[in-house]
Amino acid sequence: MKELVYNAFTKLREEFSMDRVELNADTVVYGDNGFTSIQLVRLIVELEDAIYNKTEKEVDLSDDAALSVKNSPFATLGSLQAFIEQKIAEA
Amino acid sequence: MKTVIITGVSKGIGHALAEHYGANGYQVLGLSRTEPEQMIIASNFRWYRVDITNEKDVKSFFREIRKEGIKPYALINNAGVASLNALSTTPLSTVQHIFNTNVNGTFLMMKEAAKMMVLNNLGRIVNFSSVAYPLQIEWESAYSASKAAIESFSKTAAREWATSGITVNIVGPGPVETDLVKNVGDKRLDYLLDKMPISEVNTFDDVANVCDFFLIERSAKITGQVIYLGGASQ
Repeated sequence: MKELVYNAFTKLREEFSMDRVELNADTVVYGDNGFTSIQLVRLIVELEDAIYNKTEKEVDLSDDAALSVKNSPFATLGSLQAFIEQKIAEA
Repeated sequence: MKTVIITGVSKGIGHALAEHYGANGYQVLGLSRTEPEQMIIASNFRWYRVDITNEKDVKSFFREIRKEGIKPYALINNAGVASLNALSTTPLSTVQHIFNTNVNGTFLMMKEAAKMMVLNNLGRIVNFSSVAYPLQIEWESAYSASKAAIESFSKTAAREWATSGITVNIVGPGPVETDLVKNVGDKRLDYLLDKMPISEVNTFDDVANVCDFFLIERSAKITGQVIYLGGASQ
């Protein structure tokens, strides 16, 4: 799942002409120097499609804490990967 | 060719809108739980069996059209149910059913459609309210409350998506010549119409006219607005 998340993140950073960043669990996804809320929507679509293609599971990546400053699952690549793995397990 | 998604096309307003946009140069993707009662004769019409209250159904539909490279320009959230009953004799299950279809269904369709419209930085969403809400008509409490919720969702969405080229507007018909209205009886219908500045039953074309206005590209700065037919106002 790590590869799927990192690939989607890198693809969209390039698409949005954002600077290249080092990829690790602490890399910021949403927030300062990361995606905007609108760009986050694009990432969610990308990830939901990629997850379906890989697992044939229909997951919904919306979350009450999505835009939370403190505990958004979209805060970093690490939190995002954990969030997705949990959603797939629940699906 | 622009693509418009219309919910509730099996009959009534949704069916008429599907025929209208099919005849006016749009690719029409019509959604309903059951097949349209009458054939919609347009080569650019496609019907999908989708229960708009089922999140998986809705997501699958959007994934399917995304795979095909279809980019929805507009969404007309027509599907809805009504109930005529005094508040004191309305079962909770009826309120839940009305909110599930009218509010949750509209929410799910908006949410998934906007995800795609954001990618194109362009989109038009038209949601359905009713004059029942501003007129606060007795025996329509659950129905008009659901329409109030739709209006609130729509106006907030209009703000959230304003920078993404997506407009969200609301049409609020009065009684339209549908099965729904035919079943309420003449006395009740007259009572409703008497409360309207223009005391006439609306036609499908009256509804299509408002949708047309919201859908045209020139309406890019019209968002978060409600147009009630027949002159009703809040």
